[in-house]
Amino acid sequence: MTARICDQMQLDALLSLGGRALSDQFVADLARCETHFIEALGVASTDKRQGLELARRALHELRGIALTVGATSLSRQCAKAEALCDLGHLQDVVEARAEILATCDALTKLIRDYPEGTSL
Amino acid sequence: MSADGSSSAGQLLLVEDTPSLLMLYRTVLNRAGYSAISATNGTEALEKFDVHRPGVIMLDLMLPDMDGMAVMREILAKQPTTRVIVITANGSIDKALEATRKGAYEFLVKPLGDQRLVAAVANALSEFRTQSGAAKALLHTPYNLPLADFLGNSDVMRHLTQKIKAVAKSMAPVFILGERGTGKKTIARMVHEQSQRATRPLVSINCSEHPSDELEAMLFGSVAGTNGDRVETAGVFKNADGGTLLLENPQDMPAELQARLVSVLQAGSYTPAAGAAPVPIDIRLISCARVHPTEEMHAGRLNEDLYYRLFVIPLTVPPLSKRGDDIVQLATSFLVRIARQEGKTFTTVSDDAARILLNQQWHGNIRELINVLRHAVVLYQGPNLTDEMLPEDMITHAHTSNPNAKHDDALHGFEAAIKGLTMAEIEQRAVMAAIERHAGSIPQAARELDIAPSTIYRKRDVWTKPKD
Repeated sequence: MTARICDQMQLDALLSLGGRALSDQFVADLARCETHFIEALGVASTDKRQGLELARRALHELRGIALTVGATSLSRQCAKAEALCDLGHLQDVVEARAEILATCDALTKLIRDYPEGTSL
Repeated sequence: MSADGSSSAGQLLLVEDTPSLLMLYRTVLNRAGYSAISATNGTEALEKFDVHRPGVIMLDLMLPDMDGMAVMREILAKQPTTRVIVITANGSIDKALEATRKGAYEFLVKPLGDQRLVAAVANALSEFRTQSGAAKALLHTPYNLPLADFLGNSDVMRHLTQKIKAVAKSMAPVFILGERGTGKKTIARMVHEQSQRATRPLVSINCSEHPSDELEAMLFGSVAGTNGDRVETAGVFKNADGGTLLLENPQDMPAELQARLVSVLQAGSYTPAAGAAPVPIDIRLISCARVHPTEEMHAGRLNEDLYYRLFVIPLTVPPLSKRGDDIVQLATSFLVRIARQEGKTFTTVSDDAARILLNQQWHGNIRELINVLRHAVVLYQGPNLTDEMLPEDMITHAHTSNPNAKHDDALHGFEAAIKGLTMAEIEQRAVMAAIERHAGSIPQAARELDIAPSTIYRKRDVWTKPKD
């Protein structure tokens, strides 16, 4: 399961370097990005342009974290959704939401459950 | 203290809006001995820049309150010697390349490898310190290429190497001539390191990158404050004493300072800003420039006495296009090192790619070659550098059956554009267009036009002065 969510060695190296403080911060940042993404889609229902811009920003930040921890699937999903935001395809972004949030939740769980001081 | 033994306190600013990434970068840099100040948005970054004046900025291009590119522009306008390392996500390479064209020192693509991050910061800090004259110059070949690889095997470079060996043993001043990006500073380091002064400092100062008063302080030292909080800073004469002083672009030094330098060289002593009595100095002088000092002397830009004191033994570094097969050897050596830093595994250059590299003009010389290779390493996996990985315009250029056709078209367009203009008007248009291309950065426009920034400042003052 781990391999499909992220690169185990990359995550291992990062969390060994930064310890519990870093893993807690990753979890907090992932949750914040998820919230911003959901809120952005809410804004988009009344102001499409503004909502898509906010969504693109949230997805971009999420992609930065995903790339850093080696979560390739999530980074790909975010990149694709970012491109859809740029193109103004709101409906497609809304449809991508469930998959992105599910992958993000799985990554969050993996990091939260990371055993301190040991390898995954 | 950092791995290179120097303090980075207050010299490094991290600008990143994602707290976990900021924490991670800080951890990696702390472990390598670098301490950094940080900001999480553009406004805070500019405020902290004004207070601390750091020499190196690691800047995320996407910030919550303003565009990272605008932050970089403002910082470079305030302090052009700042080294800005741009951070970008994979897939936003175009933006990063645009940033390097607009003055970024280099770009890093997420995920940032620990070694790559530390190496980028170390290189940037070292360059900033060299430029600002704040420390002994640490002149290395780009990517720490072994000197043998850097020199290659072409006849022109073998001849140059022999000449370096011969002049290094002498105390006579050396003047290194060469186009931009040919490695003049590396040649200066070779002269220094093969001399009897090799264990003493090699200090460099670039006369075209500092305003007159700053240059004076860098040469002779400075004194700030009074009595209790008096701070004295040593100049390069003191820092280079017993070693070698590398003067870059001496023709761009203001006339008054050129005259003072002549006096110092005649007397073998100088009067520091912090003292009243002359202090004897023992330095060997090496100068380097892109322009020929004889022409500069005839044009009145280089003091005649100074010319005769500096232009004693000329060394000419050939442009990359004249180095034949060295180009492929250099490309392979750089490729392996750049790939290592980027976490890739490039090892070879294909025959087709080699043919294209050998067919280029390389106006930016080694610096341009490095940019082309970095571009390929960032975008592709390796291990073989193939022709498809090279920039499209290079491939087109190499494959054009009639290489003169494109040139002729460009020439006709250029002729139409300048028809009816005076020489002065053509010059003004060329300079203003270059400034615009570099988003208002005069130092960068000057680099492109191969003239001193001070020349542009002077000309611009004349152009903007109301006519009587």
